[in-house]
Amino acid sequence: MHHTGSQSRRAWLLIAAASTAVLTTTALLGPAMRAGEATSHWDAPATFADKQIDASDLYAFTSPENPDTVTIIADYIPFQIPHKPYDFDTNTRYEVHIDNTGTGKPAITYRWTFQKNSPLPGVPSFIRKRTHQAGPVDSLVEQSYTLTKLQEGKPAQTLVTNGYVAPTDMGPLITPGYSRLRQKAVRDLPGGGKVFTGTAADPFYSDNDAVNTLRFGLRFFPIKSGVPMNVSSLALQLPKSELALGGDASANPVVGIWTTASRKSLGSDHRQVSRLGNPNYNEVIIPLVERDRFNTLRPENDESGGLVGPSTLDPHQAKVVADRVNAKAPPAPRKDLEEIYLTGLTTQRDGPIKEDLNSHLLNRDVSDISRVEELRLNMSTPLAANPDKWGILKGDKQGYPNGRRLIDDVVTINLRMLLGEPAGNGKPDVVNENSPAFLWKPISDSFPYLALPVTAAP
Amino acid sequence: MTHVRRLLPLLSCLLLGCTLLTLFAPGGVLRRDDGPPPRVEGRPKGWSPYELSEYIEDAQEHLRHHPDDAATWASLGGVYLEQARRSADVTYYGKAQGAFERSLRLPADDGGPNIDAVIGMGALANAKHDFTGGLRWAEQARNAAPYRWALYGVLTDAYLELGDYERAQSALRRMLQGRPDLASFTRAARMEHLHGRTGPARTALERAREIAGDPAEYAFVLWQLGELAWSGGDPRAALGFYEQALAADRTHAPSLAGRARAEAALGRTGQALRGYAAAVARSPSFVVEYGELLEHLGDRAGARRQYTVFSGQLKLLAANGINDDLAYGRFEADHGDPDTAVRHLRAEWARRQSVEVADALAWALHRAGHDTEAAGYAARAARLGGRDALFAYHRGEIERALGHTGAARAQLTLALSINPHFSPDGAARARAALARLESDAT
Amino acid sequence: MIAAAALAGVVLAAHPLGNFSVNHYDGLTVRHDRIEDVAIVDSAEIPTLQDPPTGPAELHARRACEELRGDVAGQAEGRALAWRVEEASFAYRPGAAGLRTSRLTCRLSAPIRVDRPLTLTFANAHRADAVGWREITAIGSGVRLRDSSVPSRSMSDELRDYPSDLLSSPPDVRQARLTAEPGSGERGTAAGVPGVDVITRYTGTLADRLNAVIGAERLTIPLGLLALLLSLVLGAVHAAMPGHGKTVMAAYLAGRDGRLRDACTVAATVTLTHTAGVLVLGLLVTITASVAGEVVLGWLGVVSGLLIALIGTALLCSALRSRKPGHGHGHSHGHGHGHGHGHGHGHGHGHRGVVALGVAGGLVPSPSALVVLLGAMALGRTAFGVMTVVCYGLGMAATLLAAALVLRRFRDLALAGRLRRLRPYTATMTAALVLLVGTGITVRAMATLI
Repeated sequence: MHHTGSQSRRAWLLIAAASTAVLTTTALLGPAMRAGEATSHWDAPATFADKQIDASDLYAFTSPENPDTVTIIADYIPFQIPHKPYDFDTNTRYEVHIDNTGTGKPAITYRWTFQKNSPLPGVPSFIRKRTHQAGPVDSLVEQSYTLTKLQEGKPAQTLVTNGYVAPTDMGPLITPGYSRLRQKAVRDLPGGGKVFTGTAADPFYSDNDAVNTLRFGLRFFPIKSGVPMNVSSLALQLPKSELALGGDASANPVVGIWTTASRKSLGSDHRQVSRLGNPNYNEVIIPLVERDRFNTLRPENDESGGLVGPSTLDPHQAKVVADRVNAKAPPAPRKDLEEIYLTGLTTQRDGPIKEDLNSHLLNRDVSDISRVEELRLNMSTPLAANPDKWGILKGDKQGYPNGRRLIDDVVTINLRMLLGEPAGNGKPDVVNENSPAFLWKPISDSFPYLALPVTAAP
Repeated sequence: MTHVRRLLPLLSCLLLGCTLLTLFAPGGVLRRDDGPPPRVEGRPKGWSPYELSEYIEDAQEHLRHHPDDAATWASLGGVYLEQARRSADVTYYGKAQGAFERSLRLPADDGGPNIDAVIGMGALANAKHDFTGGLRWAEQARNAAPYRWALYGVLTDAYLELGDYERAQSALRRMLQGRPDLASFTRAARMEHLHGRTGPARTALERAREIAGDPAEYAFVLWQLGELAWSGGDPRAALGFYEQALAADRTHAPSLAGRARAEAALGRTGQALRGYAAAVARSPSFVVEYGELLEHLGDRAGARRQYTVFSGQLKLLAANGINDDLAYGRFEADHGDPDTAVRHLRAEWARRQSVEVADALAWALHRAGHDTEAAGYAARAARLGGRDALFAYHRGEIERALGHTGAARAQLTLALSINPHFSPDGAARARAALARLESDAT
Repeated sequence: MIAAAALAGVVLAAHPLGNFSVNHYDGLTVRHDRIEDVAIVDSAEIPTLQDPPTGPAELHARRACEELRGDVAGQAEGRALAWRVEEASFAYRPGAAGLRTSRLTCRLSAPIRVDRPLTLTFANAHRADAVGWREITAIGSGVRLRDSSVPSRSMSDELRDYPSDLLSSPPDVRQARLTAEPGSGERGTAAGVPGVDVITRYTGTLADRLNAVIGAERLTIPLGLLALLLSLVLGAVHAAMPGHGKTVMAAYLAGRDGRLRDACTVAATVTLTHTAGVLVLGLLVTITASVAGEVVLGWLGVVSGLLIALIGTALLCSALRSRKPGHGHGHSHGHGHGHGHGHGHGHGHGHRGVVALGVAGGLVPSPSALVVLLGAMALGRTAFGVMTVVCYGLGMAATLLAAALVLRRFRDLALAGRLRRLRPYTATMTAALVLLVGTGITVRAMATLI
């Protein structure tokens, strides 16, 4: 009947075989391929990934207009389309951890948990028909949050209860005067500092060529450059003294920061399912087969775990990337990457990058550190007069990997560091400085520094 | 010549003007040097910006340019598989297999095969009822990447279908520990249900419902909640769940069939028949169920037509070297030749020892007159303690045939107490048998 | 059952799209008085089993097509089309495992009148829930289609041969939208001129190549130069092609003792006019969606044809007039001045006539130049696009120059011999030729517009 060559005939046979086998069980078998690696920004197709626990980005920087404080932003649920509400998981603890000793143990943890306000429990917002046209705006806010501060040896301190989660901007009809809602979601914390929780324009910023090069051969994500998206942000602005070891930010200015999401399993135990410190670290440095595992690891176990150390010293992706751009990656062991990602830049450990920048060893009261993967910020680095998107690679010491600002092009920086900078010569021209990069929405100049959510074109 | 001298500057001015206008036209219509404009409003009004079909297109385009990208072949295979699962469009099974095979032929990361392609092959084998194959792939994946949680889903499914419930349990435990998510919660629910623990099964599904990320996933979970309610004898609640599943994804065939089944139980025969017709047009998995309802309603010709479709499917299977002996045996036991059923189910039992096969074999043996042997298999079908009305009814009939009145009465009563609507004909027969037993006793 | 399965071994494969697919194809043909739809439903084994025909095949086909007709919707300018079933047929084909697949073919037709551009929409919702291949194609017969959302050729050979590429998905096209307008598409331009097909094809490939170069991900300098060269060549070929009156100008130049300066003037004018024309049209098309490129091209064709015809007429008049007094010189270069004062109409056949001819020649923007410009603009390479268009015009000018020179040389040779006697008539002949071509262009351009 249907003209098919012998080769395609075989294919049809397979299809036919498969087709008839769909009698009953396919329906029974659960979604098997939900390979969700919750890592920075690009990982699995969103329909497979568990977006709610997908930590897409982490930022930490000295607040520009309030330099006694540090701003930390953890972003979850990436790629939100405008006008659609997205919820946090009410069974997950979203946490930001601060390590000021360099051991990988969190000295302070800020934990968000979410509760439903919704009158219709159980029906997700994407199914429910939206009936409110111009009703009270608060009915849009389906969740509230509790923020708790946990410190070793101290009782947990509840900082916020029944916190207001900023909804997305649904347009002037449904959310008139949206900027007031944003203001409502920013609140002061007892003991100093501020918090913002809710939807904002995704500030992620990168060069497209860099993304394509760095991620070549990794799980494919059809990212459309220039498509504005929203993200759910957890933002804190905290006095430096609160984070620093011994409360002394001038003597102990370096802190390591990471964010995790831990979801309650069927028992009462919470399982860490997502972890993010340095951007791209999990997808680029950790091999595919171990990526899920990295998400469950705690930094304090990095040194003994046998995964983080060896992967950093000899990342497979370095060869892939180097081949792609006709460069030569520095030979293993990559002590430079170890210094960048696991210890922070210091001259005290004979690392190849001779610079004292952001290692916990710079803290007066720290004498020994472990090799752990964290985003390290030296809070005493003065604000750059002219911040550069390529951070330390262009001599801007306040930029990534010394913390991470909203303007830092971390993908390019990571790419160039993977190819050997700043310890060696690397390949500085791998990304053209003038090639178009997209900063979709302006960032704002006061806390939380995030732009209002993107709305659909009018 | 002077005319020309006068005209040429004019033309030049015109040309220059046009050029400038073209270059600096207002409104950004022509200036696209800033990259493509946002496409948000041009996208289909979907739930997610990364619709499956759109992802497929983008990945296909990427692979046309980079045909040696093992990871993307594996992801594309995964999405094809998901597309097949969701749309019941089997073209995608062949494509999924092709994509996984392409990926496996390419060297990945550390020289080994791409782990996601290995897991995908396992999922595909399970979908094709090749559970031994599924198990093999999943074990290969586990050896290479014990922390790739998706593989435990494949492993759990394979063990469950092969009847190795202890291993299934431990694979599932590992999955739940490593990554509590929708895939592990729905499997946990199935496991709990098999063991007759309805409460925990519902809890697991409620958790899954809370984190379902898109309509298709949501429909899947709601359908499972519906099945749970149905098998617990609550067609009204089941109907509610199926309706919600269909509100999220109106083409979800299992929910269409489920809704029809629940409506039939609630006496809305017309709606039920229309629902079944829609379900079997979408996916022929429900033709026997449909035929049984038609037969029960006295439409023997209509029922026969559905059964013909079922036989046709089996022929197609056989022609391709696949024998779905469980489905075949069940069908033959009820609507055909019990001896044939026994033969096929024995073959199936040799391959896998799940409670479903045990029950089907027991029932076929009973229909073929081998009640003593049947009783043994019926007991095996009940070994997990699951609460399944059909199993209990089968067991009751077997016990009755063996003259074990007490046990028969207990099982038949149990069947009707679990789900008084478990099958259009079966429930009626169970009631009749029970009545006979009662009258014999008095 | 076993016997059936054994027999099935003879048959090779099940339905390529899975054996419960229901596959739809609609082949639309738009004619000036009706739209026809060849609707084919290719059902795989299972749906064929599910819906066995009742009664004889013709009756079943008729009934099934009536049902399909109810699911097919079409609109012309928003008004619903009234479909009729013209023909219905139903046939089984052997499928896998001794089962059958079936093929229902319905010819539907609905009356329309394509006497002006007509927006047509079409949707097929037959068995909308069933899984399967869904494809629509559309062609025009005696009318021209544009902005069609569907291709003109079936990629499955009307559901007979399904492609099995791993990197393509079965199409799911259920709707079509297109505009039909009077005119006969590509067939008209090619008619009557032998060999033009080859040229068109050849330039078509060149234009494709040019588009590909401009669309390249990274535009390097050699690539850019290549693109400019290509556009030069394209322009030259375009000018050499018949039908746009450009060759006529060469004849004219040659015929009127053309000096090189005149030829240069024409070349410059052609280049400038053409570039300006393309840019303006490009601008119009981009800014206002309502401007249809083809219509503007048509009108420009009319204008250009009229202009040429006008020049031809003027030439003819002056040629006849100058012959009467018996000046054996025909078109001397002094002619423009000599007669200019006395006859207002004939005034300016000299340089102004040359310029006008150039304008006429360059007025109709070549579609391929337009396409190149639009493509470049879409890629954000507007400046480069403009450069290519300029080159295109230069290429045209070069051809004209070359043709003029060659013709003059040829004429000198010819006139040196026996044809010397014709010399007094050359001016008249050229003028007549110009008039003829101008009229032809006008008529043809008008024809596409009506």
